[in-house]
Amino acid sequence: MLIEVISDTITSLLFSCASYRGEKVLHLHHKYCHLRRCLAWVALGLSLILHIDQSKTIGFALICWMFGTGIAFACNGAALGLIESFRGQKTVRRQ
Amino acid sequence: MARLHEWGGFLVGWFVFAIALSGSLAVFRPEISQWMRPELTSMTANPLHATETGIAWLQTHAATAPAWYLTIEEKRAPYIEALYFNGTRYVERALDPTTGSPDTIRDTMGGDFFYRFHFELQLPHPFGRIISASCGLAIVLALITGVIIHKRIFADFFTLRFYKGQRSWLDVHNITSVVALPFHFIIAFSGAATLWAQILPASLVTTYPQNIMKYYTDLDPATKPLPSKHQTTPLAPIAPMFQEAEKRFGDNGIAQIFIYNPNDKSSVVIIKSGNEHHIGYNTHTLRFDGSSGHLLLDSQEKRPIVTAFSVLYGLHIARFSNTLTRWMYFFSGLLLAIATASGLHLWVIRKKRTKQNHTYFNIIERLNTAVLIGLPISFSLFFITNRLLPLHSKFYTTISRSNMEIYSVFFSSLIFIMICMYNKNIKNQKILSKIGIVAFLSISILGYPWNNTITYSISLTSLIFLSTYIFLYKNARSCSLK
Repeated sequence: MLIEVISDTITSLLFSCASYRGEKVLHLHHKYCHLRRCLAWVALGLSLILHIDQSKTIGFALICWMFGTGIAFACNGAALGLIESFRGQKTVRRQ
Repeated sequence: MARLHEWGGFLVGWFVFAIALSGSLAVFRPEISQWMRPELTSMTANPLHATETGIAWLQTHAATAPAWYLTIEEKRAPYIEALYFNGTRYVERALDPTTGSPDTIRDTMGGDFFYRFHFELQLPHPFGRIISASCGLAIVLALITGVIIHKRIFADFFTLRFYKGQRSWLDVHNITSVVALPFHFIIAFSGAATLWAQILPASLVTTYPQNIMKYYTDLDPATKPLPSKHQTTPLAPIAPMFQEAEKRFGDNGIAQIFIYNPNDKSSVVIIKSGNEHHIGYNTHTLRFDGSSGHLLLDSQEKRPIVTAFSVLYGLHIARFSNTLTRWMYFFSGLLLAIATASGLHLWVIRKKRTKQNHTYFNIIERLNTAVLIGLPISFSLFFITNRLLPLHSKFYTTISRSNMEIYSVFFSSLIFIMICMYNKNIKNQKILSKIGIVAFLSISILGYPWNNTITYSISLTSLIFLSTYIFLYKNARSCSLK
């Protein structure tokens, strides 16, 4: 169970690191974005394989995968949005 | 690819929106049925007693029916649901678990309306099913093409910008599609697969050229009906069969009882197990001789292809799920509805910007408002009508109470379309939003005195819809041409 949660979290983190908003918030260099994007797709596929391996049935694995990644994406998106909005308050309006 | 996504999405968009919305509500089918039958909250009886009293009522009121189909009382649905042929049509009634009579419970379709609407769209067979199955395939196609054409899928992955016109709608469309992408894909594919016979009938017709019903018998041989022998023989007591089934099914419990040719020498009693403890919809079935009560067959599905199909079907209907999973199905379904609605809205915005002649697009924009804002209100009127209509009336002999509730949905939809065709779009949005605010506020109040989790949940959900309509009212605007 824990390994599945970790895998979904890593997948969503890779997706967020590959996104424009993620790059901006986490101060990541745009140079390696292609690598991060490739890794994100691979992680998505690997997490499905991991769910199938860990679950008793394929059906249960699919349920865990679709909702696990969905929740992880939603949490990540919300976290990025929050961080950005908190940082945004500190910015000084250009004269 | 972009055109395929745009036009494929546009052509089935309104249907997909209706299917996604009704499907989300159908996840809570027993709970909605219970909300719409407030009399049930005070009723408790053990399932065997409820079944016996239900059969006794059917013996008196539907003795000559060719079959009785009973859905057994359970925690989520504390009543017996009986389906039988009354001489002119099939009737579905909820039976009181203590008396077996439907007279103490109001006549309503409850959550079954959303369940049937989800794949039949209240259209005659097989048109609704064909449309629903085609929509399932169209969603799969739209998802694949959507991912391919979305060049900036990573760049825009977690981006949601408000109050930026078309850009905001595109962000909403992307985020609602992408966040639940695996869910959308699996639910659309499994939905189309469960109705495969409607969209790929050739193999079925080739394998069963004379009698397609034989396919269903081959799929579930234990439920094969027998022709009537026209020799009256009383039905054996149900209790020993029920207890034998309970013993063999264990934790799965009993879900359904079918009685073919009741009170005939050829009567058969089929008892099906529940399937809440596993994803697949494959059941354990017992077949009894109805006149003697002897067990004829104990069948458990083991064929791989049927098991694979049952897993797909089980994934779609989510009967296995616990409360948390059900809410996730519900909200993910709503995300699909929002993705469809935002896609349809974007389509009109783009077309109005690029085309010279706006007449047709103005009509589509108004129809969009009527369907996308109007349909949830029509569904809410289904709930309100349930509480406003009197329990007994002389008018119910011509139109049944449950049908009146259903007519309220379609009648209100028709009125919304007429309003939208008559007024300008901003005014339409304001009018419908006001109606929506009143309707959803009414539902949340109708749950009073909120004495169980069902009334709480439905009131809270309607408050979420209420806040959406307040947002829509405050932000009502026509598709910008600048």
